[in-house]
Amino acid sequence: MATLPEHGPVWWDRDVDDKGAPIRDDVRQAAHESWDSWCARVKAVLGDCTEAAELMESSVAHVSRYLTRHGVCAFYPQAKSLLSLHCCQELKRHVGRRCRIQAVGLTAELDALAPTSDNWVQTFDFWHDFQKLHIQVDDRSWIIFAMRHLGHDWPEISEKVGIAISTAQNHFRNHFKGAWGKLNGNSHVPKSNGKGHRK
Amino acid sequence: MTADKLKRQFTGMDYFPPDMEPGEFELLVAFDIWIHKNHANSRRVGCPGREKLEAIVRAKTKVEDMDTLRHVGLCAACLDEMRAMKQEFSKPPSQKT
Repeated sequence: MATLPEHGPVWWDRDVDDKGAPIRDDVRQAAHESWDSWCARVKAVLGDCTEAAELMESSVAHVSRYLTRHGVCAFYPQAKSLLSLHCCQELKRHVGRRCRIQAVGLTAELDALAPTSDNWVQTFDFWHDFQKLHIQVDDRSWIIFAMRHLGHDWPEISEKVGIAISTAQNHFRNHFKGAWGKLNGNSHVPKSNGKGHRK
Repeated sequence: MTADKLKRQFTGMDYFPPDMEPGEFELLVAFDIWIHKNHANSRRVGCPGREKLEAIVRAKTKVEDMDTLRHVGLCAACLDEMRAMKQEFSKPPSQKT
């Protein structure tokens, strides 16, 4: 059993979730660290913190499963951020289900809290997508990408790979534009042009 | 380390190519995070050695050594070494140590 300040609310800090899957230590630790502020938040939104424990426990289990599924190393530094994000989302859903949303500014407060962590989750997923991307693209495109990462401009890449600048650019854009679009919300997906500079 | 923190580190540095398009910076930062996390290769397993890396950095014509190029694309240690070389070679003679 976990937690807390004397006479305060408690949550059930378990080794395994309802399905028998182990719960990660980093997520459990993050839950302990954020418990006080979480209770305060739940109390502010729902009027009391009697449901704080249930929401926290389900969030801990969910985040732990998420990190385990993606093979994240033990004691991941962003576990607390992710837990906080999920708790806020769960609270929002919970309030919605109970039709207890009140226009007192707190919903906006939650919205303001969410984006940073949400972006982090997207970025986190994106890192995993790189592995898939590497399998999908050909050697030349990956080498061009690595050269861009090294700081080579397009004329240098053209020299080293032995192709025209426009061809190198098109390789890069065609193979990476999906990933590119994902990072930029599809707002900056560059188009292959076939013009570019000529060698 | 978070993406945002790393992004701040890269900002203002002569790290990525000067002719980036909108959005490319984020893609390269994400790649940098990913390769250092998943392919750090700090024990330098299978690395081709400084001589071959230097040959690629200095090349002014087509590089035929595809094995090394393929390795470099998945080895953060080699990429870091090549970046250091590239920065060293691009310095004017008076700044070289």
